[in-house]
Amino acid sequence: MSELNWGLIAPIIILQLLLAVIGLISLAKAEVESVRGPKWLWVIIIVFGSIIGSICYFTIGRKAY
Amino acid sequence: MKITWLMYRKELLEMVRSYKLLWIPVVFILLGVMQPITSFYLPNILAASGDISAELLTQLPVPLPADVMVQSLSQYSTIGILIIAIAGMNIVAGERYSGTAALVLVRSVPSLSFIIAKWMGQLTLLFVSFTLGYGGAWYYTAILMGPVRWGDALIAGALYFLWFAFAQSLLLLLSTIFRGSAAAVISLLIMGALSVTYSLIPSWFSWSPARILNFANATFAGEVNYTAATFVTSVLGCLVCLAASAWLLRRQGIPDQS
Repeated sequence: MSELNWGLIAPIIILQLLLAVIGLISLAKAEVESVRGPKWLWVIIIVFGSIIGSICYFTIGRKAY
Repeated sequence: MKITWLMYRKELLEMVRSYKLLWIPVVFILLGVMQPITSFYLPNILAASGDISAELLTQLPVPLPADVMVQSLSQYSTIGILIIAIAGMNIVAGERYSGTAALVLVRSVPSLSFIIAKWMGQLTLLFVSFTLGYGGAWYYTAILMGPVRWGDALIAGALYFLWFAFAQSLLLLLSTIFRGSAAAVISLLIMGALSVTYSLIPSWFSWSPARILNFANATFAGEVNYTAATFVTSVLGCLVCLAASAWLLRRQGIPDQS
């Protein structure tokens, strides 16, 4: 693993962080009634769930009409 | 035409406000970029997981650029379609049940304009996401595995986009009929059924829109025997879905607000 090229991996890490940050901003702005389940739970899911966590929040986390 | 354009701009505005125009492209880029990188580091990943002899690892060939491109594309036809279906399942139903559709349609907006604007909005989102993601996959494949032929990659991308457009039209129609996740589940089942029936009995289903995916994969291998029937059914399918959604939307009453 010593020859792991960080230049290749860096964009992926940045994109993952970006996704999580978009999720957290969206969550912070959302009204409590429009979010399924408690907000703190979604914070945990977005922060620790990497890509899947953020996708879950965007797809099923909001009672979006 | 003017009304359709206005509705289309409203669609884009809504996608920005709901962060859709932000998160779906990011997810698509990640999907596309992951595949070449995991294929490239596969020997390292296997070595880290244990029990594989060093001799075997050195014999693992670096995959061909064309193969990696096909694998990246197949990510979009599975996970990509799933994300699009879940994100877009309330595209029409949501507007109907929240009362927005009634407010809009009562103001002499033709239901066809309403549907076409939705469709174009979704296709714009798909085009942006898929172009960025596919471009990412292409870039990484070219860097890690070797050059990819321009013509092949462009044709395969265009074919996949046609399949996405077909999927999106189907989803739009189902979203007009059903509310919530039913639309996503049923459209995914129909898409799945199309792919399975074509791969089981190719000779019977040579007209199937699912054949587009085979064309795209065959493009990288070289010879492709295009059949007009596949393209005709795909395009007709899109048009029929749009017309049927517009007709249904006009016929449906205003649902109870709940």
